[in-house]
Amino acid sequence: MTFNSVYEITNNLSTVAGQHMIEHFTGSSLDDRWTETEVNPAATFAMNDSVDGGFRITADGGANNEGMINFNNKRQYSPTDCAVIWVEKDVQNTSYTGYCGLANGITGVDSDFPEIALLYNWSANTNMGLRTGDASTKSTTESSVALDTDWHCHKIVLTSTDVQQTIDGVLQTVKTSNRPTAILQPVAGVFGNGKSIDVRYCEAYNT
Amino acid sequence: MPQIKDSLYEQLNPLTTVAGQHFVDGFSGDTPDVMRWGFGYQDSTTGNVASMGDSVNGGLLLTTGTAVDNQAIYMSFMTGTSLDGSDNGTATTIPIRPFSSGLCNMIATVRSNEAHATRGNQFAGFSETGRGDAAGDNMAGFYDHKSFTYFRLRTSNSGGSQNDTDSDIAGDTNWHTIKILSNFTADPTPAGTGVSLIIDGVLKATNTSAIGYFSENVAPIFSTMKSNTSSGASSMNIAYCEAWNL
Repeated sequence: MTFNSVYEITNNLSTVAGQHMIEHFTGSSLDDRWTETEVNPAATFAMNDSVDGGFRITADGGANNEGMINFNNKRQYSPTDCAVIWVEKDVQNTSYTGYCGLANGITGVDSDFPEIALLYNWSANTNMGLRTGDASTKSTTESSVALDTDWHCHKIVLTSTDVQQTIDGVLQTVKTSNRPTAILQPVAGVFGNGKSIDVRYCEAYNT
Repeated sequence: MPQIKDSLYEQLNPLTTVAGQHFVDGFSGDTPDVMRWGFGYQDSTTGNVASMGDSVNGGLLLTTGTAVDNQAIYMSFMTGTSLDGSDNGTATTIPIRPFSSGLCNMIATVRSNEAHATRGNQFAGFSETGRGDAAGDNMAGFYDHKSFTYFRLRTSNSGGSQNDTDSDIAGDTNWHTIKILSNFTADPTPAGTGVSLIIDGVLKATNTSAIGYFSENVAPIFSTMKSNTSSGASSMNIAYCEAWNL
């Protein structure tokens, strides 16, 4: 059995689908739907020339440096009814913070911008985390998955009551505190002295 | 129950089939994708703009200016990168048309934002011709205008003669899922099921005459036009477009 269309794989035609975006990070350079943002430049952004390599974000070598990709504040995803899936890898697991998920804003250091729902891999922690933030306060809940340098599939679901984090298909965290209330965009980035993350898939959709 | 397969290709086609042209655009990102889409205008470019909506499910937003009556902006597989439509005028043959008039299918989610009572021509579908007034050759699409109570299926043949068929959905400012289904062969008298319009999952209209010539090629087009009775701009959001040949 095959589907008639991509639309009908995830929707009935009687339903007006919400915003839905898929990025495979394949090609000679990053698709121009993304904006590359630096805090304390110059971060580097490049496609990896390797099997399943995806796209690499590298912060510059100085202190408090950060590189991020985002939609330049075109925010089409609901803080209460959406989901995002990232396939991500930390290139190292010391002296860095790697993150991917959804955010309202795009400025800040150490993913300290407001209104977020992110995978939050901070080397000061033992495990991968879910970091959420409302307009004033951010907080992180660690999962049971230790930081490593392997590829992982991360899914974050935002509902009207909680934020759910799934890693490699296993629900890790259901967080009810400090949930974002503002509209969101996909983001991924890294903070640290010359540290990198790789991403090779991003899918975001309103539910 | 959905079945997981190794590839998207196999979700849509058996491997024994060589798939035809097929694309999906979810209209997400920081700017309109001018590598795929180009923009054109009718009557004036002043104030016209194509932009990404900074709102939940905003998609891509086509907005006319208010300089003159019947001012329009349209989006198709045009050349150029200008977001006000100034790269392409009206009644221009769309330069890249990878879909067959007789086999082209589209699913799109669209919303017209101007009040129906003062709305100018609004069109989402296929055409051979880039223009902002929902006219031209070999059209097949979802059409609306203040003169008509209901959304319509509008088709035209290779000479531009039009055929409108009403749906039973009154023109409104809500989001709708539209599907254009073309399935016919032979010129100049088509053979097959013609062109159908499905709105929100329900078949609403079918045209079997004044439809495109099977041998003619078309491209997706979305257009919004300010009417002569409105002082404000006309705009259309497009959040999804998928098109393919049967």
